[in-house]
Amino acid sequence: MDTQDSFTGALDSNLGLYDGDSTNLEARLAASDSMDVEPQTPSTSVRIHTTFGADEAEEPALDQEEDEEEDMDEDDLSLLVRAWVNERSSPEILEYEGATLENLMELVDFQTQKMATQQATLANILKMDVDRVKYLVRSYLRTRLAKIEEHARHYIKDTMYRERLSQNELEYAKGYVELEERHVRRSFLDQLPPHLRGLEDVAAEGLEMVSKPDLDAAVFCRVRTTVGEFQFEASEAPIVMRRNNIFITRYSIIRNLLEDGKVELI
Amino acid sequence: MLGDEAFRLAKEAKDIAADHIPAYNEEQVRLVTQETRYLWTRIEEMIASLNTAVANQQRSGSSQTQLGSSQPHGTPGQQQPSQSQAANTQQSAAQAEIENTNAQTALYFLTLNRNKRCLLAYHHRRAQFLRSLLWTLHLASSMIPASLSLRLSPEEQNYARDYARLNSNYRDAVENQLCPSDSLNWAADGELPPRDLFIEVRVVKDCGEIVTENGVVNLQAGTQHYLHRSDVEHLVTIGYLEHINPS
Repeated sequence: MDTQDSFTGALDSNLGLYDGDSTNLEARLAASDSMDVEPQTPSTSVRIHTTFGADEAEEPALDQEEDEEEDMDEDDLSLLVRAWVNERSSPEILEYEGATLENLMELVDFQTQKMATQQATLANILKMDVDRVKYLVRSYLRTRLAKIEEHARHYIKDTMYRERLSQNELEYAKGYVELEERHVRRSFLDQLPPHLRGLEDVAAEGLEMVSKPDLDAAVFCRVRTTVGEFQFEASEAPIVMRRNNIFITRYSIIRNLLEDGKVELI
Repeated sequence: MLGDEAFRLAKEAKDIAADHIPAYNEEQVRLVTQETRYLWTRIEEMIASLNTAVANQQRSGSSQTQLGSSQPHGTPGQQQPSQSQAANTQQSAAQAEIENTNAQTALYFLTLNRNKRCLLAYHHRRAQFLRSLLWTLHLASSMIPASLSLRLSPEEQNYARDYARLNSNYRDAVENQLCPSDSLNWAADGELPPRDLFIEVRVVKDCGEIVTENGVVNLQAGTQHYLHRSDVEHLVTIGYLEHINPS
């Protein structure tokens, strides 16, 4: 905490700048189409905080290097890796990284063509690279499918979630719900009294048949761009969230920060 | 006892392990649906008798109670009006009877819903098992071993086929969209990232000849080969080949 005291002034001014920037960002996000949300290019605030970090004597050199690295324009691969990790750790389905996937597969195509003209050794290395990217894409899509299956009925009913799915995924979810329903209907539901055949009932105690993701699940998250003071629901005083800090918290609390790319799940 | 049959079903659903599934218990499912149907007719009877009882009561003690005759419909609640302090004994007996029936209807109704839940849970759990099995067989529903497919109900076999179709439709659509000229190697292992380009494999079951980039390889049982991972990965996944010394 003592380091913070000595830098309070700097921090405050940074925060001021930062607030202005964050509203900008929101406006930009709101304006752009949800599918084409570009990776957040390092904004002014990020650079300010890096210098702030560099000023600090206690900051180990390694961290600085990491900072620098992350401040650079993120390429599609690291974007996908981040989306993949986020997807695997978050309880609900996240935005589909359609543009990233398409860019990446174009690169793969390019690489595959290049492979034909290369020597065997080099071609093998390139092939390895391609294989790994494909693995990542596969795993990303598969993770999403698994999550869609879990709460398919809820996702296709809710407009917000529907927009997060790709066209193919939406069709998959609909097909899956249909399949599941047909299966239980034929297996036993059609033999029950007509009043009991519903699959979307809500019981008197508020117990619903349609399962929903548990937004209060615990997640680990790492701060990517310093957020500043952040009011956690459970704690009394606001907590300062600075770059590279790691928190364990309820998903619902950091949900918006995750959408804005200010934190990442780990 | 009430609800025992459904409990047995739920217990069986819980017994499903990662590599084991008990045979589809058609008999038990039938018992539960039967019980459910029986309880439902009982409820209907009770509601009917309740209605007549209420109507009688209203006729005898005209100004005494205001039991809406539409009240015990569908949701048998405990909404007995508190002002039902019957003046004469006959009426209080009738009142007790009504309360009795009300409570019984509520109990039956809860049991009905519980039965349905157990049935759903049973089928859901089995379907879940089937899905993960299909993923390991990379969606060839015909590859389900005979020992397992014997334990599935005809409905479940349909389900497996339809699920496989649904999934391969999705895969094709994605491949068309992302890489029309290439494949995403869906057959490869989805759990572990690829480490080596070449892998050493031992043939467990005869696969005949396969065509690789560098020529034709004859995969005879018992032989060992050093091959491109992507050429043989699908055979490893379904257990025809064994990966030796995975790092």
